[in-house]
Amino acid sequence: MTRLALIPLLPLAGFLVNGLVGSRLPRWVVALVACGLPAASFALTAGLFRELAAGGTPVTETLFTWAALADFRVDAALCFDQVAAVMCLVVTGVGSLIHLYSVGYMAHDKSFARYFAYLTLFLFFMLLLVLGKNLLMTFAGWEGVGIASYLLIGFWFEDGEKNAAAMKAFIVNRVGDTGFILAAFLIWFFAGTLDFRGINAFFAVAQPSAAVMNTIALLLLLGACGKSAQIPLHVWLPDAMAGPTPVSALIHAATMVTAGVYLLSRLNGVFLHAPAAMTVVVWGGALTAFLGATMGLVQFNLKKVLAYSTMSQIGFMFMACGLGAFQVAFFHLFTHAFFKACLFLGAGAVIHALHGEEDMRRMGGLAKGMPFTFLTFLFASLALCGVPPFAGFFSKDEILWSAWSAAGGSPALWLVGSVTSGMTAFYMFRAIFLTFFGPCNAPEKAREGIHEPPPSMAVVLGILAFCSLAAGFIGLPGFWRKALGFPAPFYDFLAPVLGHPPEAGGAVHQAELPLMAIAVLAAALGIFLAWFCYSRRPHWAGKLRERAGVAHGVVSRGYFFDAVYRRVVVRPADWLSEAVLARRVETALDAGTLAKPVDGVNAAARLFSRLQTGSVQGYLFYVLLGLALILCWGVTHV
Amino acid sequence: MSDSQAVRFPRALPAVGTLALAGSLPRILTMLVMAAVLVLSAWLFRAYDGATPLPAVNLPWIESLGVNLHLAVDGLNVYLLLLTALLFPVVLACAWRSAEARSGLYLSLLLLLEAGLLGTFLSQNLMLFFVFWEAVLIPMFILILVFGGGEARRAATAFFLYTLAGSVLLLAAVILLGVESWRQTGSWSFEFALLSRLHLGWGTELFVFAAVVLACAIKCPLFPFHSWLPLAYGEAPASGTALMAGALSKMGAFGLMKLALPLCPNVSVVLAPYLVLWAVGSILYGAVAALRQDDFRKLVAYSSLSHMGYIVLGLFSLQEAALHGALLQMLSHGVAVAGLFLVLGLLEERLGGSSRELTALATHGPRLAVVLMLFILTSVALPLTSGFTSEFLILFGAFQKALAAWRAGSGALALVAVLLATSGMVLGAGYLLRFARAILFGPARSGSRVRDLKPREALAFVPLLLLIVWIGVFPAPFMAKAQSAVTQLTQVSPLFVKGGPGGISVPQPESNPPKSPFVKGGLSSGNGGADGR
Repeated sequence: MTRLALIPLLPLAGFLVNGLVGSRLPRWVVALVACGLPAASFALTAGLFRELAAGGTPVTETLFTWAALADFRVDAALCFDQVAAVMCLVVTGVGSLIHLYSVGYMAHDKSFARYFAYLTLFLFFMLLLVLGKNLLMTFAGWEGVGIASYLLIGFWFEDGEKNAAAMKAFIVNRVGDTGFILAAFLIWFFAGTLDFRGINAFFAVAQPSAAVMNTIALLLLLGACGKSAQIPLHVWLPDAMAGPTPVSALIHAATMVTAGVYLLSRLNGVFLHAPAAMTVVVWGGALTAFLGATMGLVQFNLKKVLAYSTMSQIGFMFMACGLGAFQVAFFHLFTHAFFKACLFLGAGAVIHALHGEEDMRRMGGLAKGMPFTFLTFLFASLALCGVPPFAGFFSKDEILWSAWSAAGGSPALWLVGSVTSGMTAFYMFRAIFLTFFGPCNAPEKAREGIHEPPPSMAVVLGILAFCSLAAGFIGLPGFWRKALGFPAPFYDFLAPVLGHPPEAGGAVHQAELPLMAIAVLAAALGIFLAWFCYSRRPHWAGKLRERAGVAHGVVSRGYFFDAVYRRVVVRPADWLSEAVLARRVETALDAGTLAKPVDGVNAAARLFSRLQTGSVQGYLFYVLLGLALILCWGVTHV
Repeated sequence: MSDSQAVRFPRALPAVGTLALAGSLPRILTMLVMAAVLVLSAWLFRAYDGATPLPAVNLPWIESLGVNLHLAVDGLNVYLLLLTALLFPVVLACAWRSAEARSGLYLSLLLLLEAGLLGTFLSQNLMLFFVFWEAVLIPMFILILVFGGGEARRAATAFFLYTLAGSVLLLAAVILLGVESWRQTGSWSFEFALLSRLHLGWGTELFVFAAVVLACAIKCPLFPFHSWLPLAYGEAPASGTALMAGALSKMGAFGLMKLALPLCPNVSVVLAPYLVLWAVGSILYGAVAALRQDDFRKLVAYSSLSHMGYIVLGLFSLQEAALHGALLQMLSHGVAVAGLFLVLGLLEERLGGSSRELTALATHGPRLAVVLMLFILTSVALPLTSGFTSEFLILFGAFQKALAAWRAGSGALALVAVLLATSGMVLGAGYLLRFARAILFGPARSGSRVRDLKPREALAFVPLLLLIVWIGVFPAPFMAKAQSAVTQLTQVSPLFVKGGPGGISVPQPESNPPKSPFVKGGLSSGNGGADGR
């Protein structure tokens, strides 16, 4: 067994150990298994990555043949190419860190082993998704992360609401998954392969027709929307915050929700030949980015602010994908993984310190009690807002630049992106001012317990905050690359799979600097407004809310997506099941197929019993009648 | 032991065991017999490589009518042999301490049932098949009647009469085929191998097909012939329900595959799109009906209706991958649904009548909860479980076929049907996760204790779970065993035209003008002249 197969199998082993015997092992053993095996996966990934970066060829490995029919052959195979390598580094790296963080976070939970079993199971499926060489393997991981997410959202299963959230997440994801699987069927029909490289190669030379390509791409997009919480399948993500906070950080911020972007990038060969679908990807992404940000503006639950922000940021990534700038989307995915994980874990530290309080109105002034957490949260927020020189600045700016200059881009798109990034800055700093500044609104009792997180959690926060600061320098935007003569190793590394970033001519590049300045100004304006409304003049926030009136109501209810789905999908289905099928159809069927025949037989029995009169004349008559009938038949047939 | 003995034994042993029940330890004896059958079956399963037929048992029974005691393992029944042989000891192990397991009657009925089922699956003679097919009803009827719940009498009668009524036409078809063989070859025979080479006229074929489909649609069941199902599954003892859903229902699907496709190839091809539509209707009906079902047993019963629909969908897609999927779905669904009913049975045994209000099993009995969750996830068709392998292959094959048909201009009906069937994935997740939520999760109630899984029960579930994971992860060795049988099925009619990457393309109804049924000429030559030979 090679190193490649071990990358996903080590977490699987961790799952088996912790899942089967974990409850009988001492906690430190559970923690060691849970952190050690993912870390080993990370080490293996890093080794393979170095070989690949040093100019090696992508590693593939066929484990076994899954199906070998005359017309259908699929292998269980793994592939470690450049895209997979980057994603794998993120997944195992951030994954290991979050396992480590969880040791401190979950230290007092009674289901310690079960938690780590689920978390490593997630890692296994995520690695399967990332390393899968063909659509089938990726789909196995794709659904697998869904179930891991289901188990972790509903981790505290005694709470009915958390179960409902878990169920909702899985079912909404399933809707997307049907899109994925139908796309796979279509791809097989035309390309005769499910292998990613084969698919891209096939569609590069032979596209069936625009309609077919668009259908395939849109079905894939549906799958991606489900997993990546894009409109209209985003409704599960805010509810998914019911899970433990490290889970939100790993699954619902850094890794799983970005799987849609990964899928789009993997199958760029399909999307590049589906222009109409690409337009949908762009504007769908822009819409999600914008609406997600607006919903983030009005939330008071700290984790939900971050959830909407995740949705919005993935919208940016989709936007980049739709513009054909897959490597840029990937770079944002990469930096986002660090700073969003850092934000969630920071929020986790806050929630931990306040014994489970998630409402920002009952926080405040925490910067004094937890300065280190505050600092890391600040760093990550600045990265998210796109303030130079933090990581988010470089990646988001490149997306905005693509929105302006790429083939499918337009100033309108750029404007949407820039306004969104202004709002991003506003809601993040609103969260910071509400949480870390001002008077402390926590109850007396909770106030005394405010403490910095234990070292195992603090280390993780520190590392992620550092990455939020530094990760951007490996993928400088084109303008800076030229101006500073600095290479962009990130883009160069991905080039064999995703191609080079769309390079615009020198004349257009002059527009890049002013645009960048405007974006930074928008972020600064957002921060300033947040400071003004929530720190300088706190009563303004309430006034604003009253002024907004109806608009505020619409946004804070999530644009009624949930309500519409409940009315249009859930209730009619329930009604159909209960009122129509159970009460009417089933009873009618029972009557028609069980009761009626019985009555019929009974009636026939009565009829025939009446013939048994006991009178000999009667019987003689029947005999004669029978004879007559036989004679008749004989006469007509002979 | 020679191979031919090995084939005879899986059927003969339960019969011997039936007689031996006067002993002091009937349960242990029964278990030993079942274990022996399992060992033999597993050995046969291993030995069968999909191509070379294993030596069969072929003894004359009623020579003048060509009815032979002909049993053999082939690609179509090899999974079902394993499934049946596996389910019985598992079911008995789960029911070990129940009241009914102390009764000799119960044990004899189980063994009779096993003999009947194995006979149905293994027989290579149509008349023998029919005899076993009907014989299975009797022990099941008594099992429900004697050991069932409050409405056992009604349920048992409904089950028995309903399924019996369905088989009446089947008997007519069986006799008709015998007559056909007499007319065409000059001697009576009910051997499948011979019957499938007969030249049936359109009308005869249509009649046989209709009779088989009706009998099987009731047995499976398919909507709207399922009225006995929630009743019987609800009232039978848990072990009986597990066997009914796990093994008995497979008789219906098996009948379609063993009788309808090879004996009526032309009609099958022409009517396949409508059966696909029917199957999809059944899938969706079962799924929607399960959505708001509070009674857990009925919920699983409706889910079973839905999952059986997938099998029929796979069969009548007449496509290689879909047929493989249908075969695997028989095995997978058999294991998963039996597992679900067995767990429910254990809960009923522990809690008595209150089991229907049970919640928070994850708190009260974590190991039971894990096992139940695994069976639920298999039914949800999660990848790496057998449910995914089979449903993926079915939908994949059906889709390829339907799309090819659509592109060839023969209507989008099948394609729409397959798309609807895919939505069954979402509905399935819906009702099964609701089920999981209702029974596994939620606030723990103080005072309600459930004894967790005992080692004996755990041991019983292990083979089922292993099978689920094995088929889910590495199904190729299973599929290799069925490959030649599937190839045969796909090539059974000249109307199956190969074409495109989608495999088999449209049947051309025009090439086979439907004559009015029961026309005299249809009996001898008809237009089936191009088939088989």
